[in-house]
Amino acid sequence: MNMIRWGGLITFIIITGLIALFNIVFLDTIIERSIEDKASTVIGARVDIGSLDVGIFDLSIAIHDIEITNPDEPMRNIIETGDISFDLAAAPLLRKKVVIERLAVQDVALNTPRQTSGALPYLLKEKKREARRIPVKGEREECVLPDFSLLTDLREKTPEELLGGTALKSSEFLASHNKKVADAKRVWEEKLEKLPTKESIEADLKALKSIMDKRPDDITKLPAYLDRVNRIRKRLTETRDLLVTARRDFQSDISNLKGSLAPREIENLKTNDLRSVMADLDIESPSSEGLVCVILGKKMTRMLSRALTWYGKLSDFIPAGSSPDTRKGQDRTPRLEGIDVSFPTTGSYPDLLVERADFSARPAQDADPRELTFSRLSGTIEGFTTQPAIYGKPIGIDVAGTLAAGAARDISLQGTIDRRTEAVDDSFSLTVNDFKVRPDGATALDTSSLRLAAASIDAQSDVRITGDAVDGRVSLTVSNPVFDVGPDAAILKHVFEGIGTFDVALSLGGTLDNVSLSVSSSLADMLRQKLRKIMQNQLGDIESKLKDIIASRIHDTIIQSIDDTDSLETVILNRLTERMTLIDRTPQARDTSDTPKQPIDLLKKGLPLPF
Amino acid sequence: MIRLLFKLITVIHSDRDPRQICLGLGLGMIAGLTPLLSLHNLALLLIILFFRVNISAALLSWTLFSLIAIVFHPLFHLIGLFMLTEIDQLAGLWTALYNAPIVPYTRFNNSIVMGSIIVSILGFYPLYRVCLFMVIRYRETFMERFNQWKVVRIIKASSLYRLYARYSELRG
Repeated sequence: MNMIRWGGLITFIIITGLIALFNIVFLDTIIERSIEDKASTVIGARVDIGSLDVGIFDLSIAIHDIEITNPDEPMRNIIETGDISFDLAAAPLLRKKVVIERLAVQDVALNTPRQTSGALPYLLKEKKREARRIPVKGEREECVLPDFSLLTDLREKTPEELLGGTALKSSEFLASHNKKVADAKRVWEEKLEKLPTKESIEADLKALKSIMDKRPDDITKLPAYLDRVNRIRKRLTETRDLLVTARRDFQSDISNLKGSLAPREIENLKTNDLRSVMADLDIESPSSEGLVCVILGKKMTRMLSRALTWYGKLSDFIPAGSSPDTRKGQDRTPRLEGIDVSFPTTGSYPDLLVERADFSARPAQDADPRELTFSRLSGTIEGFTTQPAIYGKPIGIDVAGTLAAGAARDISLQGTIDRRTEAVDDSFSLTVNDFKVRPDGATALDTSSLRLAAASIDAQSDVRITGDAVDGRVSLTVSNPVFDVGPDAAILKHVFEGIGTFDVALSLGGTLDNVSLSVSSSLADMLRQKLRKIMQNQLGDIESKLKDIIASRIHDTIIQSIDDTDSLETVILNRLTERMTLIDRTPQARDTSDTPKQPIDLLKKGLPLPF
Repeated sequence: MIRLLFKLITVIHSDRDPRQICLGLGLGMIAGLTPLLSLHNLALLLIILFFRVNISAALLSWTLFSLIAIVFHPLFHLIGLFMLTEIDQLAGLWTALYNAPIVPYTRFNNSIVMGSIIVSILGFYPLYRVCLFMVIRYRETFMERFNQWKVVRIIKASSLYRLYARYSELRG
């Protein structure tokens, strides 16, 4: 039986021919949709391609009118290019390696408006939410202007109204102090009851005097006599010691009570009460550093955060040091799609390589100030690849240009992305000269009542990422600044008048997962003095009125407390002193422990006999 | 689908070589179990068309196994991933294929493609032998009895069947 069906071969040729024809006819659309879908998923916002032409025989592709939406502002494009054209190398393509020998990017514009929103549909956005976002320390919500409208409201109220139902801490303290004085009085009266009384001391003194007056002439009665004298003297000495200790303890107690009513302490109480009342009224004085943060810090942090997020996306795309020995796939298995396992590439080409990309700008034209269109752009990116370890060379970036309509005189970006080993060593240097901030250049995110409306900025930034560590510095010189002070911050209007050139320095540190940012600026020093005066004017009278009323409220209680404390001191000390004075009238008592009890002991010690 | 089924029954009832029918069934199974948009399916199409393989059996088998494959995708994924990543002895082969011209376009490095190809190749010969045995046995023992079944005679007498038979005659 003949196993060959020649008709079948013709059918096969026809079928494959039709498939090829279908692909050729619709290849442009298929590739266009594929690029749009994949790029949109990576970026997290819509990527639109105007048209795409594929040259099958010369293996060239030209993409026209690419718009990449800013994920944070769906109505603006982060970048827009007129034409991207490139030639593919044929031999690597047989091995499914995309090697672009030369790529030309023309008509680059940044921050252009969109006709329609570039936000992704909900499902795609949910998928995209898994993408890593690199946080920056300092991206703080508290970096906002205080609510100055509160000040106006407060100035219209009387201090009594402002004080309202606020419980003063000083009143509570004084009440507590009075209670302590009362307690001390009760305790010391009890103690005085337990101490030897005036009557008992007088009785002892009388007894001693009486005994001493009846000194015996008979030597045999002398020991008994001395014994009685010593006994009474010892009792008086003990009484004296008890009274001395009691007086010392009392003086310590009264000193503590009086110390807490010292003028400085009272003043502290009033100040704390004032602060507490001001805090209850939500009165917050802005600091000069806070204002710098509002004007520049927050914006710079946002820009930096965005740059780091893009850098994170780049890192996902260009993994560091993918060793030629590893076999790896995706982390998750897409349903019904499986995962693609990568194997070591033994050839000289990585899966994707752009050997050289050249940039150029469209001829100068009238540009929207909010668009950052380049009037001059030249530069190259060399060795851009998804597998740097295989390619064996770092990616080099060197682009320079001028923004149209005088938006910036020079912009240049140099950088090296070295991912050949696991230890990333990337460095970037961005220089911008004479970047014009214009009043009509604000974006939708600039909603602050206080913003830099116009200025000329020179910027120099150097950032290096080694492994996970970030180290960088951004220096800005802001000349001819004009600040836009909105109605919400009207009281600061004079603060921002006549501000000259100032510097801003940002320091980057930490790791990629936790970047720290510190901002310092000479603007803070310029603002400090003016701000103090303004705030003193605004808050001064409110503060002094509040202080007076707080003082008047507690004045009587303080006087009463001081009187009570003084009275306690006088009463107790008088009673103790009275008893001690009585004892001091006693003939000089000898130390009973050392006093010989028998005449023979006196004779042994060479002391005179008491008779 | 119904037309394919009728055609397959007709072929089984004819004196066609059972190997043609069973080859069609086996090759259709490979095409059905593996993802459609793979380069090896083009080779399968060439084999089915160029060699005397029963096309009806192949198409019917492709349809049925495409439905079955949906259920078995997770299993194919596990088998494919195991073959691609767990057997070190095969790493050299996969690496060579990965770097060879054209082969990467077969998507052999996809877990589901690899798993389904392995399962379908392993299942090809047993299916072919079982099919051969059943067709031969059917023709020997059941075919006459089948033709005598009341249901079959009713179907054959039905206008739908007569219409289909006439259409087949006209179509040649």
